[in-house]
Amino acid sequence: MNLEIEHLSKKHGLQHLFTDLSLSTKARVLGLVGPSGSGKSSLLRMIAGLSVPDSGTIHIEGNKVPYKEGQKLQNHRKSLGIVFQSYNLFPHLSAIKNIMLPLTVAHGFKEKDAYERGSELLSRFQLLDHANKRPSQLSGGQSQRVAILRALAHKPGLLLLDEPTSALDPVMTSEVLDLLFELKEEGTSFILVSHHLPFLSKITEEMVFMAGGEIVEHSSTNTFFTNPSNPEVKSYLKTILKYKQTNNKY
Amino acid sequence: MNLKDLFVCCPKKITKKSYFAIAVNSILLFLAISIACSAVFSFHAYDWKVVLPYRSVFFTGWLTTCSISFCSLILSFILGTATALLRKSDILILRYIGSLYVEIIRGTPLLVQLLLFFYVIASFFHIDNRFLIGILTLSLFSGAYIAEIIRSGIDSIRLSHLDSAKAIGMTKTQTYRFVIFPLAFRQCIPPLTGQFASIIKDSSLLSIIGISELTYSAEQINSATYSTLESYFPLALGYLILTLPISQLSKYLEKRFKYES
Repeated sequence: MNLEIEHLSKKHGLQHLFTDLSLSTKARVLGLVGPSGSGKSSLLRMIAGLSVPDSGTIHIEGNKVPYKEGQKLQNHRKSLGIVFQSYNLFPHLSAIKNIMLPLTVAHGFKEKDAYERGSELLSRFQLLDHANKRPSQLSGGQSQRVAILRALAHKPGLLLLDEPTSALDPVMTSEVLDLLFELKEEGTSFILVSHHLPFLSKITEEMVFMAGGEIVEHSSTNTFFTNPSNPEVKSYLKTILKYKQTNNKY
Repeated sequence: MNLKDLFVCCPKKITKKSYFAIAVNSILLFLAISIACSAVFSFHAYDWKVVLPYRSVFFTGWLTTCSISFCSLILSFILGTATALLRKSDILILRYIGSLYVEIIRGTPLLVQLLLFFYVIASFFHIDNRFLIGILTLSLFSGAYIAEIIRSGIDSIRLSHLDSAKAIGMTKTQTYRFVIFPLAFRQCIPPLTGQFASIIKDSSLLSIIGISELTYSAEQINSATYSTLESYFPLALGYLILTLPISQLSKYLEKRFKYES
């Protein structure tokens, strides 16, 4: 992935989401962490082309994200895969139909091919038994996994994940993480917002820490976890580390 | 079994005991209504033989009501959906037209609209077919209400679903077709079936412009035979036969399209 963000600013009412945010990275997998309300999701939505910055530009693989509503913006959204914080599956469609809909509607798949792709993904994720269930009949974990499958069914160049494992139990979390590792092996790039630090330390190449709409730390994963320069990051890591240690006693 | 079990039954927990309670309460209610009805209506010496020869008039009227209602139902649904979309349009003038139509129709009585349409608009356009005038007026009237029902259904859709559709790269038309309409439909079923029942009942007003539908036929029979109750009882029954299945259909559809959103 070649991501260039330059002088991004966005006002939400009187509140500044970002004032002058710039970021340049070539990392295949980028981790995005920070306290709630620091602007992680907002940044992800701008990269996805779902919300429009007041000024500034974003380039992905050298292509400028076209924020003017129209065919180009639609194509940009299609080229990505997005997984939301709350799974956002369509409640009137079964699991497999949820995966098939973007394929047939936006990516020109034939019904049969979309069905095959859907079943292939579901069986790989041990979800084939639930293919015909509606989201209300699925557990939160199953829903999120279906949502991830929906986002990657069309093999997007860049996957944006907004806390994909925050609603999953440990077993399901590791299933999702396994898949993300597999995807990384296959060469998919992704940007991952997560609070799951051990996982981030293993999968990411670079880490970004956001606070108050600003990037306060951007470094390689190794440096980020062993020797961060920013005191805020240090205390953030320490807090979570402390929790981990207490956890390990049991 | 104590006395409370005979009268109280939670609608969500039906047990064997409650079937007994349901039977007891139904019989009690039936008896009470029978006694009340016989007290009120028994003063009249019924003579069904007088109205019996007019049964074909009655039946033809009923069929006319059926066909007018059916046509209006379809036309008003199309009109309502179109108006709801107009009111969601980005083009200002279309939105104004939609709002104006809804406000004017909902602000005036059907009877007034009927008279205006029949004596002014229809005669201006030289529409002589009363049947057609009836269907048009009824559709125009009901369409405004259906527009509001559908608009509120569309408004009830959570923003996150629209976000998903956007993220997937759907066009506006695709979003309406695959996400908004299917989701809004579920919300609209109860008020929509209620509105369809209203169309059937409101069609009775068409008798005043001389369309020989059910109410008109009953009035004709009444004036020919002077047997008021014998004419108007079947009238009420004729409408119930049409409206009761609709509320059953509503219950069925609600169950069929049930999902948490």
